[in-house]
Amino acid sequence: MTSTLLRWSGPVLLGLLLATRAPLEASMLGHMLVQLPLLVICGALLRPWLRLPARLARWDGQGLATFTAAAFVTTYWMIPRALEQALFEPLAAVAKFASLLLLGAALPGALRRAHVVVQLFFVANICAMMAIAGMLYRELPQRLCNAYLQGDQTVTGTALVVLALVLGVAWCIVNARHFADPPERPDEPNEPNEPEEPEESSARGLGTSFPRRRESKSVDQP
Amino acid sequence: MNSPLSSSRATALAVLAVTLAGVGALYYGSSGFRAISTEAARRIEVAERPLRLPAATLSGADGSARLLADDVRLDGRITLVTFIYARCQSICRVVGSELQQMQDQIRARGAAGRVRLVTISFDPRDDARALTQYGRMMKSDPEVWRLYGVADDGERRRLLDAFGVVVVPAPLGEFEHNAAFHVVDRSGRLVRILDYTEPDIALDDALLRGAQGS
Repeated sequence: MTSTLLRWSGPVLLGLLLATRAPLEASMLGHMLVQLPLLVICGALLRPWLRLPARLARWDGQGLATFTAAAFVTTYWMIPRALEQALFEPLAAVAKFASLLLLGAALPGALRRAHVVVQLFFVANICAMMAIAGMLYRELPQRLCNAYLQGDQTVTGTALVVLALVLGVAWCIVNARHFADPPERPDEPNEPNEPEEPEESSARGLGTSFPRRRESKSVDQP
Repeated sequence: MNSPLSSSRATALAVLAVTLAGVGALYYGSSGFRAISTEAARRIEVAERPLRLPAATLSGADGSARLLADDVRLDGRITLVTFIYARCQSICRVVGSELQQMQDQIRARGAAGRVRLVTISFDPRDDARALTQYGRMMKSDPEVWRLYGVADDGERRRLLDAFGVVVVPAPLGEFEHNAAFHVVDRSGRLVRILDYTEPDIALDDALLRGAQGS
């Protein structure tokens, strides 16, 4: 039951996004901060239908190709001119839908493959870019899009900064276990004179998420 | 792995391909890393490739009607075109006072035979009377500065599209729109767009072009 619901949520969301194009694209805020993120989510939900071949994962070790694409795709659609082209030029609109849906479809797999440090690098990069773009949108005295009002642009800038913060915080919460202190062992309070022990175990705690191959190599070497 | 390509090498190739495609896209999206706004890109494009203007019938403040192309060709002067709406309380006021000073400049430099000003209203509510009133308020001298409206909706839209002027209805019956000085040459081509904050550069550009042709 829930799996059918999940299976159909993608096409339903895509239908909704296609149907609500005009009202969402009427404002810069709705266009950039409602439609574009929902397209990425929609892409992820469409995975049962898209069936990206498993062989593709070989080309995306640690999710590097997908994250690089994510950095470029998010940057591109934050260019005011690109956003406006998607408004008036059908080809640009198709490119917008295709790039964000594909990105959404590739992201879950990439996140699964990527080490937490790789994720941190790209998440920090994308969030920083988003926040800087948002500040620019807020501060610039001139309108960046001819089709959108100046007030809309200011609100969009604020929303971009907020989204950057929310994304960053959300990523930290999801990955909190990687930064947390190692779980205390019941016998630890009885052995206070072991200064090296916590460091070692914390290193081990981070190590659990390293790719399997590398972990086994380090075990084999000594 | 039975494939000749290791995963790390395949990934490196994929990242390279994505990076090249991404840089290409950004290059295209920003007009060669020169513009992030539509307005800036439009100005670069026009400066590089002059644009032929579409057919549009202008209705003058005096009630006359003539084609924009005829108007430009018969007049034989370089035309600085601006777009306004008569009720505007913000940006057009700035442009209006700049145009007043440009009119004085043109007369003072004795260039009225080579350069002129044309202001076109994009507000369908601006009829001949509203234009006349606006012209009187701005003290426009018809020899140097003429005001027009475009009666036909389709023609008005095509003209605005060609000039790249986007008009967005704003609250209280106002409009938000991009304002600029549009330099149109004697053959009716849009050759340069300059920001409304740079009237001196716009006038110099028009005077230079006016001097070259004669």
